[in-house]
Amino acid sequence: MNKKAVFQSFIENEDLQQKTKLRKDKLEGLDYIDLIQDPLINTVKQTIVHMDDDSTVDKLARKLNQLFNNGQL
Amino acid sequence: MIIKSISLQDFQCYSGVHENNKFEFEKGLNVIIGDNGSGKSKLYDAFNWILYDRVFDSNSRGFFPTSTIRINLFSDKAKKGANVGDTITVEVKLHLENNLSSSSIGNEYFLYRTYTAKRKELIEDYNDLKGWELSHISTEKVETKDVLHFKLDNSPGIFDKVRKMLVPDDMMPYLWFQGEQVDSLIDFKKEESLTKAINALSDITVYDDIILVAEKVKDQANSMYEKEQSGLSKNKSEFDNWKTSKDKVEGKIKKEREVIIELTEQVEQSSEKINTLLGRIEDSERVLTLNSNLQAEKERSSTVSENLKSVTQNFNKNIFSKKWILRNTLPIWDEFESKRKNYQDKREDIVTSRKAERQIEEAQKMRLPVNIPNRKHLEDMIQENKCFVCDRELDEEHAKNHVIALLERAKNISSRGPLTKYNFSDFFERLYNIGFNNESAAKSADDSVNREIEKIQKLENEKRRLSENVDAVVQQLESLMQLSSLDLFTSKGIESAFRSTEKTKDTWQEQLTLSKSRLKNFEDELNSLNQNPPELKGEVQQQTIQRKELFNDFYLVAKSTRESVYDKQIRKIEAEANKHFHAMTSDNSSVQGRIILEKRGSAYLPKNVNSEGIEMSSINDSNIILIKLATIMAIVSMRGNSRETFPLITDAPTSKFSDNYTIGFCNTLGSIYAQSIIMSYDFFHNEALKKTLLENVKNVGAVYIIEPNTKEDNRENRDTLATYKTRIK
Amino acid sequence: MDLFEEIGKKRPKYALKYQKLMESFARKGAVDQKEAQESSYDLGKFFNTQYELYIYATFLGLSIDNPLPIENAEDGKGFIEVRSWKPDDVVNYLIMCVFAKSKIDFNDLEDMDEMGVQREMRAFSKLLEAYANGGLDYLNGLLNKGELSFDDDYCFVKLLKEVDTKD
Repeated sequence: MNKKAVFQSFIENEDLQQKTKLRKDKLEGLDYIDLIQDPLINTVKQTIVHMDDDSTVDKLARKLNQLFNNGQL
Repeated sequence: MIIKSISLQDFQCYSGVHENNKFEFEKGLNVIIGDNGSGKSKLYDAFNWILYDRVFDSNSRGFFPTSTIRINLFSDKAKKGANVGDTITVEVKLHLENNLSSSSIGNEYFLYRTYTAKRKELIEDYNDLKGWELSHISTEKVETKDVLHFKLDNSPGIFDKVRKMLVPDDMMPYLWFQGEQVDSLIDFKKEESLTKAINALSDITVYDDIILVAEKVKDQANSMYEKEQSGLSKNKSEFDNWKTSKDKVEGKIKKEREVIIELTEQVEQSSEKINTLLGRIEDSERVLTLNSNLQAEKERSSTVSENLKSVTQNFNKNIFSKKWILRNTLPIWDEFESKRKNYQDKREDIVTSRKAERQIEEAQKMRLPVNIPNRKHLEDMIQENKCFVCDRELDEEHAKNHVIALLERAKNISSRGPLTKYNFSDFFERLYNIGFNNESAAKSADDSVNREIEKIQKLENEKRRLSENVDAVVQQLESLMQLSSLDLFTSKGIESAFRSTEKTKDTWQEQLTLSKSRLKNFEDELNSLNQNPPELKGEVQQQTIQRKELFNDFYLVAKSTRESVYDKQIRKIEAEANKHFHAMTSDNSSVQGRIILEKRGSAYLPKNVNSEGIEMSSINDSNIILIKLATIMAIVSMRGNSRETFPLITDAPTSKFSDNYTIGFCNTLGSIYAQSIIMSYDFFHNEALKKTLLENVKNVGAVYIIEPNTKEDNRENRDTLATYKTRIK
Repeated sequence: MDLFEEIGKKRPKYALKYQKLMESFARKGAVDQKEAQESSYDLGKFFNTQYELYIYATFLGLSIDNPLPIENAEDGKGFIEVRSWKPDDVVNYLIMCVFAKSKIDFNDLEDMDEMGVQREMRAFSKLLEAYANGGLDYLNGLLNKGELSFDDDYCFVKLLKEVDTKD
């Protein structure tokens, strides 16, 4: 899984751009780890980051909720 | 990884040892040329069997494992020649080379698959399982090159490992296929067909997984929110009712959306059907019109035939009714005329003379004594009863009576009777009139006959002409029916099918509209419920609200991203497929425009459009195969990178092509596959095509011609069947 | 005396040797004209009735002027009387023709007594028979020579023309 490519697909999604009110030009060229703190983008990022061969849907969901509770999203 | 060689021992029509049945291959395009039934498909089967332990059956269009095929794997020759106690072995050996590896260790392999059978009983039908003791399964073996030599490799799972290096499982359908499988490999109408392809190319499943995660957290956040709401509600039961209503409406919304999807597909299908029928309706109308013309011609022809029969039947009747029989009688009529005239003249003479005689006689017999007054005076005198001579009454009875008697006698003489005994003048006059009346009929008999004969000839000509007309229309009709694959029944059906399909579509459309309207109502209802929640004692926590909003957005975004990624992949495949499609059809000037994959519901259907996106000709059978092949090649070319090279093995992929496409196809292969092995009939009889292949196609490796030692239609005795191969390049 | 009546009573004969001919080309005893026509055609017959063929033969005999009397009464076979023959005007025309050819002196006829007239009528009938016989003989001859092709629907019509040119 090319995580960078997957994340890139999300960033390029117009729906996401609308919801985060981010402009495309602001996103270009930035490495995905460096992006500004936006809850939605963070959610996407964290989901991708924590996805690996052992992860399950439940596990990832719990992780996201944990991150949210900790204010990390 | 490329295939260096394959060799077969007693594998179906390849009887004999490995050395006799060895094919060596190079990089680039390798071609096995053979007539139908020469063993090309069996060679393809050999590839399948060694790697996947199965062979393809074209009748059932499916694969069968060794455990089902069993004795049929072996060559007839081997089976025939086995005595009781003998063991026969079928074996296929594959020599592989990892051409990208620079290492001399582990870069070459021999793969073997072996299956044995022992003759336990000599039965005449050597295919009868009762005569054999068969192994349950075949055995696999790998030899790996170790510097200079090949050593048996027993590492666990080595066979599968090497196999996957050669052909990754997810790519296998697009690398090894038979021509007849192409249709189902890429079924544009089925979403799963394209999704499978996209999965082979990209990580679409990752997006699906993300959607699942997003859905889960969304549901959890929503549930958390509702729980809090419930806890805060002033009236618990009111809240519960509200919640229940919401759930109900949400359920209805979900259901209605499913219904809409189904109805949309129904409408799509009806539209497609209508389009198909439209295409045929013109033809079917022509068929029906021609048929009705035919019936009219047949009827006309029948009427003329009837007429002709009647006129012919009545022909001889005219001998009497039109008096043709009188044709030769004019001289006789003249004779009669003359005879009659003579008779008349003579009769007149006779009558006249006899009359005169009579008159004389009469006169003589009527003479009275000399000095008696003349008759008239006598009569007057008798009348007045007075004698004019002496002027006195005729009182003397005797004298008076005597005079009266004299007068009476004269009268009797004059009314004595006919002058001839019989008078046949009326009779002859009647005969004369008959002759007279029929004279013109006798004179014009010839004309009448000729007219009648002319009439008959005209009718015969007409009959012939109409019969030819009928034949012509029949031919037209038959030809049209063949070209359009329509018959009368179908044609009649098409018109009504069209009308009924239109009606059906309208019905579906109506239902769809209603459903959409219902959905809108449900959504409005839901909105209203959401906007008017029951009163709460307090406020839901901000965090809860934020979680809900965030994860709902996440879910929506996950779905739309997946969709756009999928669509992008389709576009990429489309672009890549167009590249290959144009490369393959560059020699065919009639092929223009480009192929687009148009989203229709859950499917993507190919259309041929010009640069403005307007649809051009509809896609026919041979084009669709080409498009599908181009799509397959796109999948492979997109998946492969410089580090991965997979061989293409295909049996009769070009069977539905014209010659131009075949060469185009061969030329394109080289740019996509490091190695391709194709079995083909096309070059067998076509010397020109073969020449083009050998001289003009790029990157041609090995070319073989295979021939069985006995012709297919002469194979009552298969037990000597062997396959000869000749390498011509 | 009505000569038409007298002639109408006659039953002319044809020579027995022509019976096959008569039966080959004519239907015997057809009742309904229309019905007879259709089946006659299908049966390959040319004439609906025997008398039609007889009339035809008589005209033929008259055309070739070849009267052949039937010598022996026993050699002859009669059929229906003349008054039943149809069509009337063709039959009367035939009578006219036979009269034309006969040796009967019309004027003398008128002076004969009844027996005499009967005698002449018998002679008339014999003459008609002779012409018919002559015609039949001619047809028979053609048949034997194979010059008459009865496959040809038009043969009897053609014959009328051929006979004329022979004359």
